[in-house]
Amino acid sequence: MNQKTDNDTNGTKNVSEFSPSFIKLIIALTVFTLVLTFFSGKIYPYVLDFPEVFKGGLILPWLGAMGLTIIQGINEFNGQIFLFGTQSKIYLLVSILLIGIVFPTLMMFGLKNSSQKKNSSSEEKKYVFYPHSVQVILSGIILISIFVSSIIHFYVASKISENMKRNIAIEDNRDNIVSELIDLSNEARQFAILPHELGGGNGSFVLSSKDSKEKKYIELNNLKSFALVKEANYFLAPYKSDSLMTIVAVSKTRCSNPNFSNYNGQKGFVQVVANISKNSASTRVESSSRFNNAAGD
Amino acid sequence: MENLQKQRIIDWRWVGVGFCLLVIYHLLPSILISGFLVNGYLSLFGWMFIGIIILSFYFGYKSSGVTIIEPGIAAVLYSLLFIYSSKGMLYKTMNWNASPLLFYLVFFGVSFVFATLSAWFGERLQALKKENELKQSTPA
Repeated sequence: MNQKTDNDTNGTKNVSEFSPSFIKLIIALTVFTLVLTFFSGKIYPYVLDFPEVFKGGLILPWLGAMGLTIIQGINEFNGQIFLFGTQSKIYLLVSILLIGIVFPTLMMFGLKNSSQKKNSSSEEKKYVFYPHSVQVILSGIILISIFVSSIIHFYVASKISENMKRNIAIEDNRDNIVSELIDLSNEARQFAILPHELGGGNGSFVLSSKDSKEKKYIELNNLKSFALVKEANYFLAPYKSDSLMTIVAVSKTRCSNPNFSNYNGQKGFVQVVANISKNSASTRVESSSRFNNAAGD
Repeated sequence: MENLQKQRIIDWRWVGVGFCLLVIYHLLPSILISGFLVNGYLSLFGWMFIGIIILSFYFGYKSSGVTIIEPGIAAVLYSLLFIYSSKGMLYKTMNWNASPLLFYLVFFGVSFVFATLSAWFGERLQALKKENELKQSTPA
């Protein structure tokens, strides 16, 4: 026997758990939700053809408004005329109405009715479900959703800001290393061009030594600007020849791709390699796929 | 005999109210927070099952009588709404090799089982609560 449909003492009238106003409210809200749902034919807005700035949902209208403003600003800056589409306007309006007016009002009425019901006599509490329970629960769900989604947005925004700052720092660091390496390369080329009499290599990277029969290649210490470098650690590649010199620079600070292994086995450091010959010099940035072969001289 | 005829196995009012509450408590907030749901149809339907389980538990716990089958039927109706709205995308995403009819039957069956099970747990919790209240009110 279903307890909910037990007959009363006369055996004719069913006792309902739902107050009439509760039934009216849930029917109205269901119809509203279904209309909202089938507005564009499918169930969730991100499955729908939602305006891009509202991908975050209708719950945070200020994000949508901010997105539209930014898009308008960028378009005006580019000399394009940008007008909000009707769809965007409708979504923004619905979003503001729901979050700013409908749900706060529901919450207030729900709390007011709830407190009135608590103070009422037990005879008046004949139902289990009253409209204020729907109002309070629904508004509570929405408030929690706003709170949670705001935290998610705040976290994502702070991460993006952090990444942007980090990327800018990495780019600055990389540019400084390339600049220092270009200075070293130019000086090494000057050395190769100058004759032995003027302290140069006479067409090679070999130091002039009258006493020793063994060839001595130029070292980084022999370059004057080497004393000025500060952005990275510099090495000479082990393979040496008369006509080619390779300098490797590894950044002092860890940045960029952590999986990249540098010349000296370190991971996550920007590495710039300069190949220098008497006639030309080229620098190659490594460790970040985005910046590979970005610089050259 | 007359009383027996009036007894109903399924309380259709609860089916209707259950469906409406699923739409209000689950579908409406889902529309509003849609961007924060994980993308993809599989996670979408996972989200649906979570909603069905929580709300069926609530129906079972809150109803004054035994409400187990009713949330199940309401959940099947709600799943039907989902299936209709997704235009069969879940069926395509899951690479189901058998017939679509079998897929939908399994899907509705899973919804029904989840809903009835959680409603049953809700009823159990309600019964435990009533037992405790009875023990506390009865003098030793």
